[in-house]
Amino acid sequence: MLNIALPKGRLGDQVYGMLRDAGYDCPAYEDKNRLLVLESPEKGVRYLLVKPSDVAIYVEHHAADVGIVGKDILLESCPDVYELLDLNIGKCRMAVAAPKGYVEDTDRTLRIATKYVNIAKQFYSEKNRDIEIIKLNGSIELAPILGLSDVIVDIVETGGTLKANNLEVIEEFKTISARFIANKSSFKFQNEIISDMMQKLGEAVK
Amino acid sequence: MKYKKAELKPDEKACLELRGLYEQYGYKKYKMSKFEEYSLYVENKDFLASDKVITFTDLDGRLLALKPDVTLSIIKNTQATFECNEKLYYIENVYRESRESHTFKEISQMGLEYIGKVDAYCITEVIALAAKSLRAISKDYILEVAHMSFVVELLQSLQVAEHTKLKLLTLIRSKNVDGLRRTAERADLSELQVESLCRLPFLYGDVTKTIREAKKISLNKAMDRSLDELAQVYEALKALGLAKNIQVDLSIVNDIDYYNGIIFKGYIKELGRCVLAGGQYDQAMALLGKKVDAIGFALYLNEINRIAEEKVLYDVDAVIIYSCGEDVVAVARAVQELQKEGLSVRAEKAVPPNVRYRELYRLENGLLKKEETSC
Repeated sequence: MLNIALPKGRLGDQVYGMLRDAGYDCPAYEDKNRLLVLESPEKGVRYLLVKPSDVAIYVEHHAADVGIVGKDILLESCPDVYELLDLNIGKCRMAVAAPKGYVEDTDRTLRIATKYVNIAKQFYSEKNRDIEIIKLNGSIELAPILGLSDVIVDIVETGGTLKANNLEVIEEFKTISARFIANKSSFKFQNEIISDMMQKLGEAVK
Repeated sequence: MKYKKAELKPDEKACLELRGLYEQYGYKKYKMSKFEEYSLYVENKDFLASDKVITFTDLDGRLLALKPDVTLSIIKNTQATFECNEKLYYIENVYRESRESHTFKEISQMGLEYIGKVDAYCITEVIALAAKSLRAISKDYILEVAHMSFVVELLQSLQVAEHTKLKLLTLIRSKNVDGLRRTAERADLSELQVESLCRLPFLYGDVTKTIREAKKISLNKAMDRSLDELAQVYEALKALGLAKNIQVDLSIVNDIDYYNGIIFKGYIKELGRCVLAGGQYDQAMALLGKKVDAIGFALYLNEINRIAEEKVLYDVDAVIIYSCGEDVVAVARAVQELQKEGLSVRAEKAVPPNVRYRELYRLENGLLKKEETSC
């Protein structure tokens, strides 16, 4: 039985659609109940519904054999997994944003509010800029408005939230999309089904 | 009197069995100090998985570290020459950063090193021992072998900047084909080079077949040579009856400054991470000023302990309840009596609330009476 960690929510539903079309359907998934473990014994798969940011953890620790996770999470936590396929869905960009008309004062430490501490650190270390990071868990857009930070580093999909809060993108530096990942050990011991799934998903992406 | 056999944990079992195996091949156990000069790690930090080390000042003012790695110390202290090989194994604790908890953690490691003149026989012996070590832990194991030169020579031939090379290495390790293609195209590589890079992650599985496939993307003689060497070792292992669980994965790459030649990684079905890793590290020897070859591997004992065992239902077989006035010798005799039947026994004044027992006895005026079975 192959354990598949799916992110709860829209992305998960979209990926389930792809997997269903690839032949890994699971009637229980479509029942829309509150179960977190959904099995499809005749197809040999078991879907686990987890918080999107936890997918990589489940896969790295072998609780799931494969999973679907945003590249932002992979960049932030660098889990030891195989990143087998870019699914080209759930697309967005990693960007720096600030209040409209913001001009950076390069003479002092730049304060950054973000959920993505490591990504922000790495981005600014490449620029050789002295920074102070304020880790937030949500509503990042609020930070520059209240003067908590100068800028924010966050994922931007349409830019709607930024616009509504009078912020704008200063710089985009990474393209983010959903990735198909696999546990390194599972990839060896269950190679047949994982390769097959990867190939079918790859065809669906094209 | 015969004692009851204690239940051993998977890592303890492996330790016992493997010590016997390694000694059978003439490897000697090497006991090391827990401390090492900190400077050794500063100078060779690429060899380590992380640059975080626990340091302290010794009473004479020298800066020391709790060992994050054993191999470096072995290299530093080895007396081996091409004429006089050194074969040793160790069971040691090392101290490393835990990525999950952001704290230091103690990791127990068992390893084996062969230092001196490394020829095809030595390589085969060490890989065979790695395979046998895995087999001692789990029937369902895979030992993946690769050759450093294959990837190193491929990257060398691309003539790309150092940071691009490092990025490509990371992408190869995570089998990220989409990322490889993007990075390669951005670095203006030829179509042939991009194709070779992108097929590298899929060069895994059956040894003979994979080597045949790999030959197709080989860009130079050095890459061909590395495949021949791999094939030669595999033939030897096949003749020794170890071929079944051996695969090739050419996307395995260790640190390119320290490792060269054949490298390998071991997995078992029960666990999600690699439990054994090793390879030939002549270059590390050279970097530390030793003019000999070396090959070895380490087994991560604390990973092995995560193998789920059968649930233990009882803490102890029997509990004997005795009262205050009971004769001490009578209690001791009662305990021994039950132990003779092969049971584990606890004598208590009352049943401890956190102890699960199979049988309960009561000792009154020197008479042992069984009260109930299981709790």
